[in-house]
Amino acid sequence: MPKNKSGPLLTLAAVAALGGGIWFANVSQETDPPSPATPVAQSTTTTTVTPPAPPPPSSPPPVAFPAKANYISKIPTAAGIITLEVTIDGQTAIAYACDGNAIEVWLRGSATNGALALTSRDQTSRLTGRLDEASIAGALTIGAKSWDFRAAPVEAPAGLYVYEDDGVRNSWIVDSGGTVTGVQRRADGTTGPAPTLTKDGTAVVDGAAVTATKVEGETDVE
Amino acid sequence: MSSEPDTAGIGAAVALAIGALVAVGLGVFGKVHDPQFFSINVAGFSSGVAVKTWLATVAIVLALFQFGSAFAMYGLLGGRTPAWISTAHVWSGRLAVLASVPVAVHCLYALGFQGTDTRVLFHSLFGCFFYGAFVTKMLLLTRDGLPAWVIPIAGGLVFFGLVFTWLTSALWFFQTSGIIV
Repeated sequence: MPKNKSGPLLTLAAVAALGGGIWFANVSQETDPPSPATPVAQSTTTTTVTPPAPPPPSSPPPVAFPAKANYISKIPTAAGIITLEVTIDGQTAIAYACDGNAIEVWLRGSATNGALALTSRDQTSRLTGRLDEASIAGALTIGAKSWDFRAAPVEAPAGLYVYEDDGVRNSWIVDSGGTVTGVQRRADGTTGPAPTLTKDGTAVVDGAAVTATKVEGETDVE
Repeated sequence: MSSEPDTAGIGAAVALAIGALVAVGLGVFGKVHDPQFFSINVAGFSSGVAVKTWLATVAIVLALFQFGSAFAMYGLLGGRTPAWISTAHVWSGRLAVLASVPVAVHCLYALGFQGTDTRVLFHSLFGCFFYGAFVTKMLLLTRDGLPAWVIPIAGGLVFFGLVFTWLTSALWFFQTSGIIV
């Protein structure tokens, strides 16, 4: 057996240094959550969808959402892109955000006078926003993290789709280019990439072909 | 009993206490710290979870070698123990624990200590236990005059902690997602 007494201490020091170093690298990448009063900065957001022609400059900005509308934003974060979909149906707003891998959150709330206020069921995540010309400018908060976003309107079949059965929930966002991002949450609460959603809205879930439902105001997502 | 085992006993108790503090401290910190969901990762894998799974699996393979080489060092495998075995034991152990560090930091930073289901709860407990046991064993190695059974027990507990941490995470990942890179 080695009698070199400094060896184990060096090992401990190496472990502490490596762990501390990775931790520090993580912390230094953190972004400060924006203060609620700060206007949404255009430069911090990107969208891959083409916004429609803005209304003529002479007309006042709309203060109410369309009766039915869908908006999508791709939010770049330190470690990946979060795709956000906002569905407006009358006075109800439903939003879903995911990274296509493991992180997802469903939010529900109101869409009145061109303003959005949504929370997740467990209240740990929230979304606020307002209609800005034809897009939504807002902030999405998941846990302790917060990001500004700008979501552009999209037309069907782009939107939000869900299929739930036997405690397994598959959620997909289809953007205007037809790209699908989704997360599957299993009955035990674990998450992973959702199965492929085809152009006709079907997917194979646990060996069975199923048809996804397009989310609307009355859609009740568990 | 001479007086030497008594001071060794105090030293061992201190090592145990520090290890216990590390384990509880990690757990409390993981519980209090706000999960950040994201953490820095290694490029080239399909997901952060896949990276963790493979790093943890590297640690487990090295730990299995630790297990075998420890038996050899104590002459339990019969025959003559080659001189290089103890050096290999030290370095495989170092590599194993270093491979586990990025995984643990990701767990603590991005997710924290959780008990959403039995697997997650036990994984959190075993993960904290592993680092506590590891610190204890490293400190014990620096003490003289310990009873002969102390180091094997400590090493066994470190091995136990790592194996069960792996079983409740990486094995679960392979079973649910398949063997993916």
